[in-house]
Amino acid sequence: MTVITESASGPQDVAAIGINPGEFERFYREHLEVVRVYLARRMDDPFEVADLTADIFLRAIAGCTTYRRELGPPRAWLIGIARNTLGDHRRSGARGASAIRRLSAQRLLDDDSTQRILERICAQSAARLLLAAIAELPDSLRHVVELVAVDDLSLVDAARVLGISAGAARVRYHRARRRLRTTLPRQAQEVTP
Amino acid sequence: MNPTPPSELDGFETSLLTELKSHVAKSAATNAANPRSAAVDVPGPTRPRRWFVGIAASVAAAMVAAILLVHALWPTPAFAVTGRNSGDITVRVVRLEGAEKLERALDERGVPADITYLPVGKRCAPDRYAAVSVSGLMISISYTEFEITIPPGTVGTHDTFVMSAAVAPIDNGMKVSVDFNIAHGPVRPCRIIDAP
Repeated sequence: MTVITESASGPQDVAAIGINPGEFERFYREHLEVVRVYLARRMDDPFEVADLTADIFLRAIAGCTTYRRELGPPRAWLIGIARNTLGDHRRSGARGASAIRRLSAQRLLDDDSTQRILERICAQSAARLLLAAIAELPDSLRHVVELVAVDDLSLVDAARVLGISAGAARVRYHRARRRLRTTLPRQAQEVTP
Repeated sequence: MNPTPPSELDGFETSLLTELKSHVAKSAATNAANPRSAAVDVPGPTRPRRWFVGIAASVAAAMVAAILLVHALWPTPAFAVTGRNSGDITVRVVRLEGAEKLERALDERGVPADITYLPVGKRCAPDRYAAVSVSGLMISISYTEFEITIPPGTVGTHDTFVMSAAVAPIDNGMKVSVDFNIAHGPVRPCRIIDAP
């Protein structure tokens, strides 16, 4: 198979990742860290991390033609996919998720890669504290705080992921911060922008 | 926010990338077998160029059609051919001119070719030739050009590389339609019909 080497790729090339292996590789390398961190902050099983990593990119491939620039940068779009993937995984349980999984990625794990995932999980302990601290917030507030304070999205991009207006996201975020000031440990508060 | 620098991959991530790229290639082949699903809706010409690749399916792909919007400004020259039939041959088209010259350029590289550039809104009737089952025949399209890659040995004895293309102006650029394949045996002249 011929590899297309010339590419002036950018955020607008997301649609090509479903049909062009070279474009997909560029996207994968550029956004893998987003997926690594997202899952390391929320999962503690490296095998599930491996499978979910594959699932997230498979969903990105399947849904790449739905990406629109006005939905935000590809990173925000991918975080939205990761969020939905993890949500489905938790709702259906590992058995249900594996039943629809097209690529069982954990078979690709070697000892070294497993250790790296575990190290990333350990390195995200502060984010885990923050996630635990906001767990009691109402969903509408928690989702905004999670995307902004944990996943480092802007309020505008978080609003796009959630399908709400930027103004609504801003209001929810500040309401959440008002509540969290009394419940969050100091280091967790400092994570917020 | 600045883009994340490309990641260094560990063994798992490298293996996963290989499998996912294979998955993409298979999806592309499926799309290539279905011209409608191969259509790409590209935003307006003020955005950077983007690529579309279709890979002719190994058996089912009788014809590959790729459609997208391209920038109205065509640079010169009209086309370029590189490689020979013992290796990859790349046909790069930036302007639908000189079909006969392109045929000669391909013939000089051992690839008999039938090239047709069509009027706006037209296409060749799909009964011109018997298609050869091939794999690896690819097209990439940007705002300003398209490029077809013919793998080595794809065009055998009594085979012909057949390509027809049309350009139509639209609100914010141009729409290009490209049909291409490998024919075995005679290729009848293009009978022009209305494009769907």
